[in-house]
Amino acid sequence: MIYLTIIVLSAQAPILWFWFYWKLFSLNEVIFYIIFPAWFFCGILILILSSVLISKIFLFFTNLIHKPKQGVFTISKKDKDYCYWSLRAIIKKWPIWLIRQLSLSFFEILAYKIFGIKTSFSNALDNAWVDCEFIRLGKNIRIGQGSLIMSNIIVGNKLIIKEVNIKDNVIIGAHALILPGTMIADNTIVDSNGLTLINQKLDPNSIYSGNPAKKYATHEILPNKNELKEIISTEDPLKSLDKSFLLEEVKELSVPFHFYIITGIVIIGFSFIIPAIIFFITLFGYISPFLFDFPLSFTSFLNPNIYLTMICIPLIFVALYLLHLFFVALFTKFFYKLADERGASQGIYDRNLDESSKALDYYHFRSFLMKYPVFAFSRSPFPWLLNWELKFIKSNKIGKETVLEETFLHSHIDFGKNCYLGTSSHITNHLVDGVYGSENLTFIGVSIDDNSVLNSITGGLPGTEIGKNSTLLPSCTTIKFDKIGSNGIYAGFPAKKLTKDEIAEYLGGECDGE
Amino acid sequence: MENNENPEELGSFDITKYPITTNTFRWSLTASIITALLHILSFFIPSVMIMTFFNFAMDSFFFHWRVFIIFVDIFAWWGIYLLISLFLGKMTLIILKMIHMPREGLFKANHNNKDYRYYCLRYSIKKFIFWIWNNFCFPWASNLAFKLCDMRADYKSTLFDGWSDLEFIYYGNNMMIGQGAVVLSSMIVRINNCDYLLIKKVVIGDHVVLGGHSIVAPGTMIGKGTTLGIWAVTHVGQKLDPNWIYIGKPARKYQPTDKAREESKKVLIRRLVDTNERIPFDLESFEGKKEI
Repeated sequence: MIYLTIIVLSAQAPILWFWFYWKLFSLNEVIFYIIFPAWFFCGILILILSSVLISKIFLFFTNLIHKPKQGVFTISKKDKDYCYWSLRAIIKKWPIWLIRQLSLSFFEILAYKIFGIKTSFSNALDNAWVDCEFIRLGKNIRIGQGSLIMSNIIVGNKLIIKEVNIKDNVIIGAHALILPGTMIADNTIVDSNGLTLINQKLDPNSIYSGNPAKKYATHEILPNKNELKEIISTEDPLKSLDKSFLLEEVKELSVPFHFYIITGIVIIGFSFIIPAIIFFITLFGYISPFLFDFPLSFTSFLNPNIYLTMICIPLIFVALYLLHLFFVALFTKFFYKLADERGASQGIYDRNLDESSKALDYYHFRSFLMKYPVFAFSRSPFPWLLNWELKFIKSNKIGKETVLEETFLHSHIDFGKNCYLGTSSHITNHLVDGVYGSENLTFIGVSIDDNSVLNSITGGLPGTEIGKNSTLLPSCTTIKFDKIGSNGIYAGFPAKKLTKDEIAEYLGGECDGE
Repeated sequence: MENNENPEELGSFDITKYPITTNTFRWSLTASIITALLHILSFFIPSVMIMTFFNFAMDSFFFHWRVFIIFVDIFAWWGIYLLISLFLGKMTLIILKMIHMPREGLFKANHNNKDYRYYCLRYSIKKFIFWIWNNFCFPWASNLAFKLCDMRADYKSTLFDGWSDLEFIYYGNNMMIGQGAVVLSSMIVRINNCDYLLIKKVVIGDHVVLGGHSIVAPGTMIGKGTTLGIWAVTHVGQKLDPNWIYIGKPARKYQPTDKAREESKKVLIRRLVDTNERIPFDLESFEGKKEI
């Protein structure tokens, strides 16, 4: 409800903006069409700013009622801190979502500043996921592709919130994970794929690497410019390399592109038809006569109907968007059923693409089908609808109260009740050993039992089974056909169970993992 | 994987120990303005079409026949938006290339450096092109976008799951990039507390599979048929032989691809993670398996 209220309220400023435009130029003037795109772009920026400000107001009152605290909290509706933490997350979702969709890094940092995070405009973090509370950033920080800066983590049924502090000139490599409570001193480099532990303190001027991250050198090992230039010649490698090094003898693939394109057009395009018709009817049958035709003056605002219309407009647009998503799911369900009946069930297959194989075609088709719907739902402002969608398509079994964050999910990955799956995780149902060959495509689902917690960037290869109440720490990845037991905490690749001492080390003594 | 505990022992410089960082940059004002202009201009014609649709088709009468073929119009709006945005993006790239030719090398990561400045501009525009295609979400559309960015790629590779840099990369035929894999042709190098940008061409052969979350550093050459395992990282200028499986950090040889393929056929093995036991895995009795 709060979420919807924020959307509705933040839409008021752009509505006024377009109303002003409508009054300024009449619809049939040439100038209307010429300036419209620029006006529209500004409208979106205004929407972003107003959503940030309105969230800030909500946040201010929430924080007055309950001050955000660091610490270890139980995940239950009775725990006040946990409830307010999720409330804060919901309040911030809409503006942050809008900004990330449009990849406007300037506005992202502005929003962070407005939300009260210490950061600087000289930071580059638009490729990463950075939590938006309890983060303290210095200047000139570069954060790599797909890295995660987390100030909260879920372990078992506990939520750990701890401030992350990153000082000036820090470089964090691609896919590095910074867990809560980490303190990174000036000029330090965290290598790609590194994982810092909870409450870990990194020294200044050093290089950290590995999972878990260990210091392995100081800046002295870094080369000077001439040394590096010697090692890296600027000669074009394509000229020096042998042809047999790169080129495989030609094999023509048989991929039924026409099939994909037709279904793609049906799913994406046709799902817009009814929402588009309703859009035009609303715009010209409702918004225009009931709002835009009124003069933009003080007297109009004395009319209560104006307010009603202004509240209804964003609601109608949200409804249209949901309608579009519903049609996407509906069409996908139809095609998925078609492919599922004819295609291969789980097992191990040849991936000989040079001969056309029906099983393989349907297998590829099925993965293609899942692409847009999952993408559309999980990247929408309402990602919790993904559970409904996957159950509706019947590709996955998903238990009650399971939370799926923004991530891509394949078919045949089944969740029990009350599970949690973090951002950017990569659980997969298929594995390819080499591009070509016989019996090199493993296509088996993954099953995850009740109450399991899979943190961000965790993953599993086909055939993995995860028991009850187990927790996978970030970057934990299982290998093919792994079976993970119950009640444990797992980390690393390949996944291994942590002993008591290791748990204390990983979690920085914050929580015993019981 | 091998961490050296004593930093003192590392006297001379070892490229394999060099940390693989990233190439993110702060958007300059020029880049933001150009991107905003591209957004605005590419929306120009579609917006005219959308806004005038009602006047032509409905004209105060709600159920005109034109309404029922609205999907044709929707595709037209979309198609024109995509084509114009691509065209404009490509034109800007060509102009930038005419002003300053992209080249490999080591440049100071500072907006006063011409190479770095134009590198950032190019990337901002390429990001715009990819933003359009990513929101459109036809998997193979990204291959076309790669081609537009002057890179070699074919349509049958799956390139859409990872984060790939957008220049100085040669992709072979029929290759695969796993979920979240990162292909870097440029990265930040820190020398005497000063950031430099290293740009070096990456060459990837035919039929290469890059595993999930693997990272390819600038200057890497990967031979045909090679697989880079999950979470593996190559070092700067590494050369991977053809037809091998590489794992670890920095990537090292694990098994020839053919051997691994033959062995995986013999018997399926399941690892019990808690006890580290290995038991045969029976496909038929797998719990999660659905009968179709």
